[in-house]
Amino acid sequence: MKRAAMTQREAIMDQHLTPSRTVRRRTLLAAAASAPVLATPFVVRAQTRVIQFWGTQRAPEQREAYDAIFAAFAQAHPGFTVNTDLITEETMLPRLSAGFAARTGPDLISHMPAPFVVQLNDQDLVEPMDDVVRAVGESDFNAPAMELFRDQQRGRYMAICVVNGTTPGTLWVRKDLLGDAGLQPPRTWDEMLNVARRTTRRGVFGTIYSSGKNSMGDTQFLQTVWQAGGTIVNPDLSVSFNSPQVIAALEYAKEMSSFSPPEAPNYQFLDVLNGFVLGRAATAPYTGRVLINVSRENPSIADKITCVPSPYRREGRPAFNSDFTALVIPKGGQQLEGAKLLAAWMMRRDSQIRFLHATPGHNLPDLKSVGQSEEYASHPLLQKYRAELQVMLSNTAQARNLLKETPQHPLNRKAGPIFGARVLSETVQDVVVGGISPRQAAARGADKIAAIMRG
Amino acid sequence: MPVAADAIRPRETGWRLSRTNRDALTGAALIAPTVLFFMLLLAYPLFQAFWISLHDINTLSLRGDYVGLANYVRLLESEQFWNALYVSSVWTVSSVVLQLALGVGIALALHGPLVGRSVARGMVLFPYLLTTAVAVLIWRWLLNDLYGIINYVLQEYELVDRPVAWLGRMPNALMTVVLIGTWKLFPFVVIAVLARLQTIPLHLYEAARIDGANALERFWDITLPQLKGVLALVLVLRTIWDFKEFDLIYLMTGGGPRRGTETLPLLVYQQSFPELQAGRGAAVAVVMLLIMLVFFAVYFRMQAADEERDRR
Repeated sequence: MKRAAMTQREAIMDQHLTPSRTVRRRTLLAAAASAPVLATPFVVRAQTRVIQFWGTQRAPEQREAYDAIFAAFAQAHPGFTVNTDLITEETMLPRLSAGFAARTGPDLISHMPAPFVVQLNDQDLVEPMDDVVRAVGESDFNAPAMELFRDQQRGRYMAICVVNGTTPGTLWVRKDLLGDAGLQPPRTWDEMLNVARRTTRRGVFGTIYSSGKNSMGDTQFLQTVWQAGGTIVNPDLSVSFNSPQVIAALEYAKEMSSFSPPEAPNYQFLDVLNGFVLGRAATAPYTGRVLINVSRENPSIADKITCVPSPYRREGRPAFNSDFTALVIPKGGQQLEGAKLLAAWMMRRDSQIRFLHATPGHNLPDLKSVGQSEEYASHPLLQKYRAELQVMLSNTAQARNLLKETPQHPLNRKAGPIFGARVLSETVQDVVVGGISPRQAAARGADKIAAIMRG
Repeated sequence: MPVAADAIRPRETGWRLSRTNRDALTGAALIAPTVLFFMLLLAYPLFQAFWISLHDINTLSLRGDYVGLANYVRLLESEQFWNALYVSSVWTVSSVVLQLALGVGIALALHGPLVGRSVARGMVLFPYLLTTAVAVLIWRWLLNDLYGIINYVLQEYELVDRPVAWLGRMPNALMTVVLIGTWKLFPFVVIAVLARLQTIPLHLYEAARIDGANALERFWDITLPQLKGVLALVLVLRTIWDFKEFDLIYLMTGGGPRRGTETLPLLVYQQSFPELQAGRGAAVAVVMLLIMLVFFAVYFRMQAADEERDRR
């Protein structure tokens, strides 16, 4: 009986298990046979060196330009490919912190604001870029950018300026709206306030003065302080934020805010751009990005716009702020050699022009050879707005940064933390939103900056 | 042949463990993986956060000096921390109260006879299912001062002279964030309350009707006491979740204008990343954790009370 049962069980096993064993064996054999095929992508990937690239310019046209530049690079440098990750400026430091901690950071970053670069360099977290500077040609860069990125103590370049431009330094103007009011584009603050007052009406704001707690608000007010004749710190790096000039700048910001959209204390770069492009503001600061956006989104005003240097206080001086956006190789990347090659490739004239033409006028060249080339100026939009391009180039050539407010200033290594704490825009908000007097707000701001400078 | 008792008794030697000890050891071995995972996934990060909070440490390089409790002293002395604690409290209390009120109201409506009830029950979940980033994008678009529909309608019907700054002024910004938070999060309350409503015995209502109780009395004397347990649980859970809410507020206002909507989680972010002060950020996070432990204690107490009730 037991024997019969065993036989029956063996029969069942024969029937069910044996074929499945065969199947498993077949599967294993098939898997073994196909392993080389399946492993091919991994082998190929292991042989391909992937350069991790981060950038902050995210417009579809810019993405296309990056793809084209990187494809050409990969073709010219077999074995290298580029993995592109486009991020926002606001998330750059958080993501980089995570990257450093996990050792998964990028190999090359483009469009990093200069104060961030200095913060990284102070922590010894960037690779020297001297090889790239030599490959591009040191004399081809504009001097102010090279001055910012030269680490005098270590005797090396911490970054290179990939492109430049000034967002608050150029004031875009609706010629038709000003003409209707019998006004000329403003050159001084008095004229600017008059323009803003007389062009404000239902549906149209006289201007857009952003006081958002972001890069736009910070750089806008920094430039206003300079235009008033003041600085944030003195050349000996003592705090000068509670000066009469800063108070005058705050009074100006308050008046300008009354002619701006009510949400301006919450505005970011794109809000300012959209406000002007959609025809809801008679004047607004921005880069040449206005050109392509107007031509695509609101061509009816394409012939009614022009730009002028941002107005300044009569007792002050013309002043322009720029981020001096940089190409940086962070430490800890896996492809140092590839990153340097790619950085040099991105600075080639053809790469630069391909990228700059993606959004004409938005970024301006820092390389003299590119800025002076006919090829760069040949883009139809730049041809059409040749006078405006000259205004933007001239403003950018005079631009400075909080890192070095005047030629007499040494490098202010606390520029990054001052921006990070949003002291400048918050001071404007104290006046515009909080109703605090400019004098009191300046004093509070000065205390905050002094604490940062000490820390 | 009789067998000696000693022959079948396990031989006791010096190294052999008693049964009780063997069981204890087996038990310890069985829970060891859980303890190990707990240590790796919970205890270590918590300890690490506390350890970082005792240092003046740069977020990028993670290098810095030991400063003891200096970050905590600095925190408790800073106006920014007390402001953030106040904003967090206002946000949490307002948001949770509104979510409960709206959630219970809508759950009652969806529990009653209603045309298209199934569709309405599905629709009500919609805000909860939306990604926060998308919800914020939609609301920022609607509230925009230049091309948003809400300001357009208000101006078109001459209810306002110029667009309303929903997010650029105070107290508008905090009120707007609370309302949008309520809109986004109340479906959780609906789900929880609706589930409980469906288990209330109908004969209770029938008896009350026979006794002449009107709708309000039936709600007050039957529905609300029956909902008490679930409402208490929802209250505690939502308080914990809302107290640490980050993305909605950060994306809506970034903590502004000024520091009008800067809650404690935003302060952690602000100190840790833009200001690169990991130690100070960690100190805020540890204080937040301590505050939330109080809520957790309430939650566990309620859980224990529930279990006790179930046992009885």
